[in-house]
Order: sequence, then C-alpha cells, then structure tokens
Amino acid sequence: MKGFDLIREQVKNKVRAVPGPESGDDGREHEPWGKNRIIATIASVLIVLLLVVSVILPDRDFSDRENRVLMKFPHFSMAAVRDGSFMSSFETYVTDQFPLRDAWISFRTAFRSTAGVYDSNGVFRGNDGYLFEDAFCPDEQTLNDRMYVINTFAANSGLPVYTLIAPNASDILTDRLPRYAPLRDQDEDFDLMYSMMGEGVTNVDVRPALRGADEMGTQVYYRTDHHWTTRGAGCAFAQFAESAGLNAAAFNRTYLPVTDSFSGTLSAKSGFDIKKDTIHVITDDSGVDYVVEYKDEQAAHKTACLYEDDKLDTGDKYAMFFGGNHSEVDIETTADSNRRILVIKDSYANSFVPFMIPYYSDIIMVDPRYFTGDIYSLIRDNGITEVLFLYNANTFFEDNFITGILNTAG
Amino acid sequence: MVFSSIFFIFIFLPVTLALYYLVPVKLRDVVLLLMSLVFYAWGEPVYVILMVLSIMFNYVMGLQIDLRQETGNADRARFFLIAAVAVDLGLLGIFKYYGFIVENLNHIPFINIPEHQLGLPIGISFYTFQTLSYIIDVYRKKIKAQRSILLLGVYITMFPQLIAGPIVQYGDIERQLYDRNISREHFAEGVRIFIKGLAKKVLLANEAGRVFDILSGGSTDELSVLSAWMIAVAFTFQIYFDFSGYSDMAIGLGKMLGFDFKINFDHPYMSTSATEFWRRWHISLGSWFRDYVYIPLGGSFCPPKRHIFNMMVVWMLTGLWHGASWNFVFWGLYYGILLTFEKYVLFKNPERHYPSVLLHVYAMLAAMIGWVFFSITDMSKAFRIIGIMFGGGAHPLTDNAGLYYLMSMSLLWAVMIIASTDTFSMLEKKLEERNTRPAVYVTAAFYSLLLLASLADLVNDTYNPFLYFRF
Repeated sequence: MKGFDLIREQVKNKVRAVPGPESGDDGREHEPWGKNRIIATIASVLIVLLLVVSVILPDRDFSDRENRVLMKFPHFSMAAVRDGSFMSSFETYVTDQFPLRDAWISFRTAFRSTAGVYDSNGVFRGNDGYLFEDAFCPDEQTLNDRMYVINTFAANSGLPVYTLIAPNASDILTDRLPRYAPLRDQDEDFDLMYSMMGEGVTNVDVRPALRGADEMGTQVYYRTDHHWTTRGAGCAFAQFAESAGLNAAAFNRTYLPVTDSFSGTLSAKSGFDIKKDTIHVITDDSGVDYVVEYKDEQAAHKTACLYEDDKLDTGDKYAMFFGGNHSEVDIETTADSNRRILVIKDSYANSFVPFMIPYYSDIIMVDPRYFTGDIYSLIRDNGITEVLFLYNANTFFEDNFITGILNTAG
Repeated sequence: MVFSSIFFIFIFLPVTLALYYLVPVKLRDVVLLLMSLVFYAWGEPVYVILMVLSIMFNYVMGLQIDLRQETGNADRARFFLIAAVAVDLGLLGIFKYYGFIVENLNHIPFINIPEHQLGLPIGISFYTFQTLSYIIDVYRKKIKAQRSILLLGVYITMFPQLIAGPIVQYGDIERQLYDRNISREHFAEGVRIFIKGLAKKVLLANEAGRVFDILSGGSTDELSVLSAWMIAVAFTFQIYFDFSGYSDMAIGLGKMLGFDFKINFDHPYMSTSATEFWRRWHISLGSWFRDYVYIPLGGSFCPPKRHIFNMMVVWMLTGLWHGASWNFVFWGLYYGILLTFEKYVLFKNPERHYPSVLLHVYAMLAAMIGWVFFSITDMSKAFRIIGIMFGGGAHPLTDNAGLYYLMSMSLLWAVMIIASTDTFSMLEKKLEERNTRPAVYVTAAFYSLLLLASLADLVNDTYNPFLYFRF
C-alpha cells in the first residue's frame, strides 16, 4: 500500500514537474486545472465578455441614478492629446459607460455594507433608512461678509426682511444618526450666524418646530434626499407665518401623495438604497388661483400649475416642485392681499412656496445662482413689500451668489 | 495610467496582451516597447520625449563604457561613467529637487533665485535608478552593455515596473530579455498575483486612505488621542497595501508577459526590528542603495565612526528619494538613527535576548511613528500628532470621529491586520499543498470575489490617485 502511494506521488510530481506550457493541453487531459488556470480563465472570460457587451451596448447619455450627464467619447485633437485632457476624458468615458454601471455600484455598496461600513461617498447610513450628509463648515469671514451684505440690504431697502435658514436633517433627526457619526454640530454654526444678524432682519428659527414635529412622528426630511419633505416645509411655514403675521390656520391643507418611489440625491450619491420616499403635494381650500410665469431666458413660459409631474418619471423627482430651480419665477395670485414678496432662495423653497400662495398677491422667486438681472429694479418694478431669504444651511454657507446679486447695484 | 483603473484592465491590458501574443515572436519586443511608451505617454505626453532621449543617451554611454573597459582604457571608461551618472542624476535633480533646493537657498540672505515649478515626470525616480544600475554595472563589468537599443528600451520602459517599481536591476533581468518564461501556467499565475495586488490597493489601501485623509485633514487642536493613533494606523495600512499592492500588480503583469521580478515586500509588519523591517520593505530600493551607495562607501566593514557616517548618508538619501521635502529627509535620518541604535546598542550583544512580543511591538511602533513623519509634510504637525498619541497636552481620550472610524471599520481593520501577516499566504499554501478539488475551488472563488469587488470599486470612483506617483 505504502509503495503504491509512493509511486502515485512520484507520478504526480512528475506530471507537475513538466509544466508543458504552450504544448500543455495535449498531454494533460487528465490533470485538472489548478487554481491559477481557473482564476485566469474566469478573469479573462469576464473581461472579454464585459468588453464585448460594452461595444454592443449603445452609450448612455445620462445616469438617472447619479443624476448627471455621462461622459461621451471624447473629441480627438492633437492639443487635447498634448495636454493630456483627451486621455483623462477617455478614461472617464470608459468608466462612465461601463456595462451595468449601476449594478456594479449597488454591488459595491452591498459589499461595503456587509463589511460594516456605514458611510459611502460622504453619506452616512442611519437608523430607519435615513441617510445623512455632513453639514458644510462655514468660513467665519465669508459668512460675516454675507450677513453684512444682507444686513445692509435690509437697512437700505427699508422693507421687512426675513431669513429662514433650514437646518440639515443631521441637525434635527439626531436620534437616527449612526453611532459616533462624525457629523458637524450645525447648532454651533447657527449660533454664529444668528450672532451676526442685524437689527433690521427678522430671523425665523425653524429648528424647534421641526424637532417638535419630528417628535410627534411627522416625517420632516426625506430618507433618501437632502431636502425637507412637504410636511417639513409646512412646519417651517407655520413658523414663518407667525413671524410674518400670517394666519397659518386660516386655510385647511390636504397632503396628496404623488409618488412613493422617490430615491433622492443622498441615495444616488452613496449607493445606499434602503427605503423609498413618498412625495406629497398640497392643496388648500382658499380658492385662490394663480399663474406661474417662468422667466428663464431659454424656456420662458406661463402655466397655471406649481408642479411638473413629468419630472416624476425622471431620477430627479424633487424637481417636480416648479420643475426645479429657475433664475426667476413670478407667481401672480388672486389672493385678497396687497403683500408682494420676493423670495431669494435655493431648492428648499420649491416645496415651501406653495404654502404662501393664499397670502400674497405676488410671489417672486429668485435663485441667485442663475439670476443675472438687477434685484433692486426687480423690487421697484414689482412693488415688492417684503423679502425672504430661504435657504438650506449648506447652500447658504457655501453659496457666494447671494452676495453677488445684492451687490450688483445699490 | 494606473493599473487600478477600468481603462487599464479593460482596454490597455487586453490590447497589449493580444498584440504581444499575436505578432510574430520576433516583433514581441517591438510591441512591448511601443505599448510601454504609449502607457507612459498616456500620463506624460510631453515627458515621454525626455525618457526616450534618456534611453538613447544611456544606450550610447553603456556601449562606450563597455568598449573602453574592453580596450583597457580605464580612464575613458570612468569618464563616460561619470558623465552618464551626472546627466542621469542631473535630470532627476532638475525635475525633482530644483524647486526644493531653490526654495531653501532663498532662505539665505542675498540669495534670490527665481522659482520655477517644473512638473515631475511620472516615475522618474524609478527609471533613473534603473538606468543608473545598468550604467554602473556595465562599468563594474558585472554585465555586458546591451547592444540592442530595443532591448535596453524594453528593460527601462517596461510598463509593469515603469512608474512605481519594483526597481529591477539590469543584471536580474538580462537573461529574461532573451529567454522569457512564456507559458499558460506562468501567465495564469500572473493573473492571480495581479488580482491580489489590485484587491490590496482598491479594497484595503483606499479604505484606510479615506480614514487617513479625513482624520489628518483638520487641525490638531481638538484631536483626540484615539484619532491621533487612528491617523498613524490608517496610514500604516494605506501605504503598505497601496505600495505592496502596486508591486504585486507589477509582478503579476510581468509574469503575464513572461518576466519574473523579485518580490518587493515580504510582510514587513512582521519584523522584530527596524533593521529587519527594511529587509522586508521595498526590497528593490533597499538593495539599490546597498549596492550603489552603501557598499561603495565602505558599508559596515570599516570603523564604527565611518560606518555610522555611511548609514546616515544612505538613509538621508533614501528619505530624499521619497520626495523633495524636509519631512522625507527627517524620516530617512530617523531610520538611520534607529538602525545605528539597533546595531550598536540594542543588538550589540548577540547573547542578549528580548521577548519577541516586545520586539514586535517595538518594530511596529517604530514603523508607525516613521509613517507619521512620512505622511505629514508639515513637520511640526507631525510632532504634535505623535505628542498626542503619547498623551502630550490636554487632549480628550476619544472623540466621535476616532470612534466612528474605529468601530464602523472594525472588520476591515481586522482584515488589514491579518493581511499584513503571512496568515493568508500560509493558508493559501496549505490549501495548495492539499491540492484537493474543493481547496482549489475555494481559492479560485475567493480570488474571483476579490476581482469582482475590486472592479465594482473601480467603476465607482473615477478619482483614484496612486500615492507613489509623487516619487
């Protein structure tokens, strides 16, 4: 028996001792493949297969999941080769157009989640399906300059000026943050900002209202998106109404769900896809009618609707509110009021402004990131009676355009 | 172009391998040279000219030195040697150290040299050292000059080791230039090693690097003791898996083309001393400095004073090689001092034995402290971080950031610790020795999973810089 083993061992060694590379296949039909051959075959087949698929599949223009335009085949020129931009574009092109790109990203997220990593691309996965992004750290000097401009604007215009800076979800839903999540304490930033606010500015602090509503079980932020929900905006509006002397309870509002499959920016950014969100729109019993006029240079048009429901078929479902951000949107209403408000804003206002309709005869929304006109003549020409700065804290701390439009003239 | 990119794996590599194996054998070297130049030009469309000129220059110099040696004209041989070394080092100096030298000279009163920021040609530190090893070895008659500029070009530009090593010495690869190990098994082994390196880089180094960037990015004012340690730990793993992963990929690619490069990393974090660490870390660089600087200076076969001087010179240069900045010089000298200390104090008496646990802890701490100096260019900040690690100043013991990255990545840290030891390679060896079908399949499945996970990561991030490009 022992001798037999020995012979077998020798035969085995002999077979192994002859690698028989290029001619290998003939004589080794009975020798099963080793790990190297199996691994190399799997890898080669995978690579060739994916390569063939990527050649066959047409290029995609846009990634819904990432909400961005994907790189197309780069334009070839000697100049682009010399400075290397052709090469880097080409690499991006290949990666962007990789077959099953979204599936790969999901696989990566799943893989990392299994390994216990709660964050991905700067987004943290909290409890109950909530995703959080970090708060932007304001530069004290820049913030001071911005507040100075707003204070001066308030003093010079002589109009009532309100500021409503919405906190991030991480500042409100603290009990749903992942354990030890190293997110910035935004309350400190709020304290700093409030300390810089001038006398002529009425500050609307919506944090207590949002916290209170959250404690009562109202969903004030989307799980998958960085915006507040329509109900969150409603809470903030109630707070604003109190400051601005509006009777929030004068009308009854109904929240109507328009989609329950909303997967927002945070989900797209991180790849975490745990729960979907529901988007609501509101109607009220005020009976006030309105005309919405979009004043973008390219796509100026009028409509009688606050919502663009074809956006619900895209990845950017939050854009259904006013169809996203525009340089200037003018809403004229039949409200029995002589108050006319200018809202200088970011996208947080898009779900907020519908609450204001029955209270103002004219609401003009201006997004400083796109607006190129003169804010002072706009105020004059439209007989504006009050101004609201409505921003999410992240945009407000980061965005320098506000200073720009307030400084254009004086 | 980096190996860990979708473009490399799905376009450049398949195209190169297909051409390499489809053209007649005679043309293989032409393909390899051309594709290596394309590889280099892809990232350095202008400096590729510099590299081609450098190859031509060193080709001529090698032949000249060889010729003079053969005719017994030692003076002329020496002249060409010095000329070649001066030009090669001069180019390295101009492109890598000019800004640094000028900046420091300008600190001297009445000196005001205009500063020019020259772009650093990728891999110049690596390919300069390869050409130097060639020129010097020809002079030493260890090797014959390469008469084919094609083969010399292949040696210097070969894309697997062109931009981040290993630093292959000409003598080690001369025979392979003529007689390569072209076989399916060899190729397949290369694929496996490449996947191993890719996974190290993408799945481990990048994760550790992310934590390092986040924690070390801010000021140290409110850094906790835990976070300071996490900075050191994260970089310790990042640099190891990044660089050894890159070397694995290079070795794997070499095998796919029929070449065998020597191993460059041998589980350095298992060392019991700083001396041993450097026998296991970036072995090709250590050998280069040993062969071309340390031994020519007299090595250790000289009086202690001279030996210590030699050590300091070698280690200062080793530090400087890693980057044109004082923290690298300091990091080099730090090792010079440690190694001297080990030779003349710690291990002076060979009879004296220390518990091996203690030695492991010592070697690991030495490496980690070294990496803090290496990774933080601002030296006073590096000192502050090390101070905080050892309880200096009134810093909190823990903070959220430190706890978060410790806890949420606990599984990954565990994998990194184990992967730094030889546990995985022993396990793989055991499975291989067993040579049963299940053992083979388990290994193959594991590597396939590594490949899939790495590819998913590469698809995910377009931003994927290689640490070692700076050098």
